[in-house]
Amino acid sequence: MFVLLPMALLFAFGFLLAFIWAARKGQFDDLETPKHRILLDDEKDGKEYQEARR
Amino acid sequence: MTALKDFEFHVEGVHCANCLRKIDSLKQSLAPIESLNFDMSHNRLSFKGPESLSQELVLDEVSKLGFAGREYDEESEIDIQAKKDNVRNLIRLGVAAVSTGNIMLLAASIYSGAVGVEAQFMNWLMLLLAIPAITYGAWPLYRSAWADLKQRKVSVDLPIVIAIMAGSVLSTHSIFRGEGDVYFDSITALIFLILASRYFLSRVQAKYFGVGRLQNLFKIHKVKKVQEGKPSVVVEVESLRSGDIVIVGPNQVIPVDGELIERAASLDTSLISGESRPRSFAPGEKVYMGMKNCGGDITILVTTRFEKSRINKMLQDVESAVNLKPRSIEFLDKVGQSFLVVVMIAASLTLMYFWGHNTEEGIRRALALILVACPCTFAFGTPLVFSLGMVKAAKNGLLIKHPSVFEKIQKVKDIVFDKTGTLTDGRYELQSFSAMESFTDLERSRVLTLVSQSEHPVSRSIRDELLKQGVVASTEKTEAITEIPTRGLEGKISGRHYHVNSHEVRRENEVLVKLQMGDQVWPEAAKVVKEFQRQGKSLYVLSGDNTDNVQAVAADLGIEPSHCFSEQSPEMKNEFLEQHPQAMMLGDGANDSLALAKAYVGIAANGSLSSSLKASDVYLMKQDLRLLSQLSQLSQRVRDIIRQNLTAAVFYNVVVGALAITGYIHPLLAAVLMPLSSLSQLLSSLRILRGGQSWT
Repeated sequence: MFVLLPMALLFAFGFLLAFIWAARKGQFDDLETPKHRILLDDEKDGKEYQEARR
Repeated sequence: MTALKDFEFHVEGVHCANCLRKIDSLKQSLAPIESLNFDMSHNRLSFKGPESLSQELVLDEVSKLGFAGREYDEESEIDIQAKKDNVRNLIRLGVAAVSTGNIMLLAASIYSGAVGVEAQFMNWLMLLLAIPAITYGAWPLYRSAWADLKQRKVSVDLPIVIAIMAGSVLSTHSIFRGEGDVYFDSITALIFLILASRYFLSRVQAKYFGVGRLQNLFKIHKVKKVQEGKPSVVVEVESLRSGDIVIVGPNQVIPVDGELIERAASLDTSLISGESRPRSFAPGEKVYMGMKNCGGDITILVTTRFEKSRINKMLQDVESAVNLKPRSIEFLDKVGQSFLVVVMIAASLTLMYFWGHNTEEGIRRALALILVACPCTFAFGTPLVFSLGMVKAAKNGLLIKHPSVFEKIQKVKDIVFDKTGTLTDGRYELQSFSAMESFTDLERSRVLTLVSQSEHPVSRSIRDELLKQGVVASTEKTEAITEIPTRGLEGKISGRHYHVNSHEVRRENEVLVKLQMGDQVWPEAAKVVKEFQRQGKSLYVLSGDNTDNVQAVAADLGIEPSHCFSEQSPEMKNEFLEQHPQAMMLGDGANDSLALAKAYVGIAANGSLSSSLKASDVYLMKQDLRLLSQLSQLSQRVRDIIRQNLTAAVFYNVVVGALAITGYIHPLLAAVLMPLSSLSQLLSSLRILRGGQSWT
């Protein structure tokens, strides 16, 4: 326990650092666009797909 | 490979995946560009492109896609600060979350029976984990509580800070002693929940109440720009630069700040100065966006860009008023303060009771009381309900400036309508268009050419009507066009004189078309009026219009004739509102800004935002009177939920408080109750988003 607990906390600390890094980089600035963007087809892939179908 | 430059634009109107697809197509039309990105939260388009790419070209392509674009404003210091604060608050929230989550895991093992060295070890870990949340995470709470104390005010932040402090001291003491209660799980959970609710609130406000969104509501989009040696063109207001010269027609609102040139003008300045009578301006005088031209065409030299105009600054004031902290809510402060006082008195009484013979037990119980008597409702429950209510309202087209509106609406006794633009569409449109036999196809195309030169509502209606009939404008040259307010539009085509005014179109002395202009009563107005009458409110109409028109509208809607007042000056409206202190005023048009400010609740209908911005409490973003009944339903729901939350909180606090005073509160119970009560508050507040009327 005296080893595992600190290890778990170290883990948590690592993720906290990752979160802080992401927040600083502005990953949470725009929570609006990505949810719409996921609906868009990737144009290039779309073309390849159509060509493949032909 | 040439060096690429960063481009940034502000583009309005992108809402959906399809719009994004259109924006993405810029990659082809503006090629070669790289890293094209659109940020819907901020309406910002950014990409890297060659230096040779001109801004005009980009804006042109954007407008071809059907969006309104303009240069991205340089970020003001406030914006940058807000952005930094936002990131910092998010990090604080993350820190608090990590602390809370891990402490809860540890606390759970202690509650489930860990003892001895293991429990000691876990307690120390908890202390260690709590430190970042209590110091760094809760820092904004200390700061604002301290700021309030310095101003001799008591805010909801204060009991929270006391609870945090007291709990930390008590818990640390217990850990050092090796026995006693440890409250770190409750404390960090409290910090986390408060930070989360406030972060959420600020995001919501930024999204719905940003200056960009307020600017959306502006109806002045196009303006006639003079070009040297060429005929003038109609351009987007956003595209104007200082040094441009624009022409503002009769009854149009000046869309920029600038200097009057060439001729003197008579302008309605009520928006800027609150004065309702038109004022004369001499050439060379400064004129501001929002002033209305009461005379003939005037020419203005643009001196300030749209973004920097006086009105835009006012918009920013409004925004900062909107961003007031939730604790500024009057009602909340009152309840929160009395709550704090009660808890403090109870705590000191407990302490006094044990003083001398069992001081330590007294301190323990008093602190337990302060800690478990959770001020959650006051700290985040009520503000959350308010902000969710505002979100819901905004989604449906009601922009509420301040949550106090929800309370005020409940107390409204009288409802006052301004006729033009609120009960009627105020658009002053063609009601009938009866062409004589002499109105041949040739005449039609000539008249179309003539009226296309004017932006006056009459001309526009005729133009729309003729276009609807499929008439194509004549290519013949028009000469000597003059437009004189009250007299109409005149011009010469192929040597013949044409005259258009609000009741006829003439060629020389022969009448070609008979017109009837007027405005129409909103179709849903009668229903809304009936509903308010059923609720027992008194309805009034105050209008600047003449008696016949006002009475006709009132009769249509079923408003008592004795409650209709016509030919009202702003001063008279003001006086009326003084006699009716609990009136809700719905107004549109510059001459209402005084009255809207005076009214208990001022509601500005769409289109008049420019003039009523400072004065009113609510803006209707859509021309839909049903929004009014929705507003009253929503405020009722907000009130109900807040009351239920408060009742539950008082009940909870009385029970738990009594248990704490009598010494029955075990840390386990406190740890379970605290998050439970917070969670129930949260869930209860979320109810505002559901239910009620169907809101579409």
